[in-house]
Amino acid sequence: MRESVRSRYEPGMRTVSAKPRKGEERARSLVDDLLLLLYIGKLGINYVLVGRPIRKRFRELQRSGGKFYVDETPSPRPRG
Amino acid sequence: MRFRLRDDIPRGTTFAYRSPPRSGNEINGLGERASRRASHVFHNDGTDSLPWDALDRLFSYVSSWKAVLYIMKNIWNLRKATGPAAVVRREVADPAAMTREIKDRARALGADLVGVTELKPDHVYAGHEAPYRFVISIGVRMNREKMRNVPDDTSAGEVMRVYARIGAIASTLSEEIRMMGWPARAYGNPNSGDVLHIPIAIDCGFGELGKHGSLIYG
Repeated sequence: MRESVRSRYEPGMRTVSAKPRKGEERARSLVDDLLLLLYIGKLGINYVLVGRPIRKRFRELQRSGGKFYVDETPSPRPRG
Repeated sequence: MRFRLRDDIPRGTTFAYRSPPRSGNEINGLGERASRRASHVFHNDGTDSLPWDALDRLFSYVSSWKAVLYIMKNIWNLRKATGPAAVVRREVADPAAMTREIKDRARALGADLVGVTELKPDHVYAGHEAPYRFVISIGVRMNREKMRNVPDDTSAGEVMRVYARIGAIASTLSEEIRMMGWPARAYGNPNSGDVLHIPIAIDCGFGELGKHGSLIYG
C-alpha cells in the first residue's frame, strides 16, 4: 500500500503539506500570544524608562511656558 | 444645553518642531482639484515611517499611565483581528436579514452604534489594501464627565478605554464572521492601519464631517 502511494509522486510534482494537528495549532497560538505579551511588556518598560525624563521635562515646560522640541524625542516609542 | 468655554486651558502649545515636517494638508492635497486616496501623516501603527512620527512619539511618552495601559490592552484585544475563515461557508440568501443579525450581534457585544456599508477605494489609505466588499463600523459611547476636560489625562484615558473596548468588540465580531466561512478583519485603531474610519462612519450614517476633521454625531 505504501509502495503504491510513493509511486504516484514524480520529481517536480507540487505537494501539499499535511494539515497541522490541533495540538500543533494550539502550541503555535500560545507561542504567538507569548511573543505578543513580551512585545507589550517591552512597550511598558520603554514607556517607564525612556518616557520618564521626557514626561518630567514636558511638565516643567508646560508650567514655565517653554517649548519642547519634538525633533529631539528619542525612538522607539510605544505604539497604539 | 449651554456650553461654556473653559478659561484655564494653557494658551499656545508646549511642543514645537525645530524643522517642521511637510504639512498634512499639503500631503493630502488640500486645494487640489483631482481626487486621490489619503495618506497617513500621523498615528503610526508601526508599518510606515510617517512625516509626523516625532510628534506621535512625544504624545505616546507624555500620555498618562492609564492611557498607555489601555493602549496595551487594545494591542492584546486585537491579537485575533484576522485569521483563516472556516472551510464551510454559511450562504447568505437574505442580505438584509444577515445585516440585521450582524448588527444585533455587535450590539450584544457592547456596541452602541453599528452600521454597514460597502467598502470604497477612497476608504482605504494610499499604498494599503483592504480586500473586502463590506465594512462594519462600530461606535461606543464615551463617559461625558470624563471628556469635559479635554485635553487632560482623564479624557485621554477615556479615549483609550473606548478604543480598547471597540478593539475587543471588533475582534470578536470578525472572529465570528470568519467562523461563518467569510473573510473578515478587525481594524481597531481609528487613525492607523489600512482604512479611514471617519468616511466609513459617515457612509454608515453616523453623522457628518466637521470642519475640525472629526465626525459630528447626529
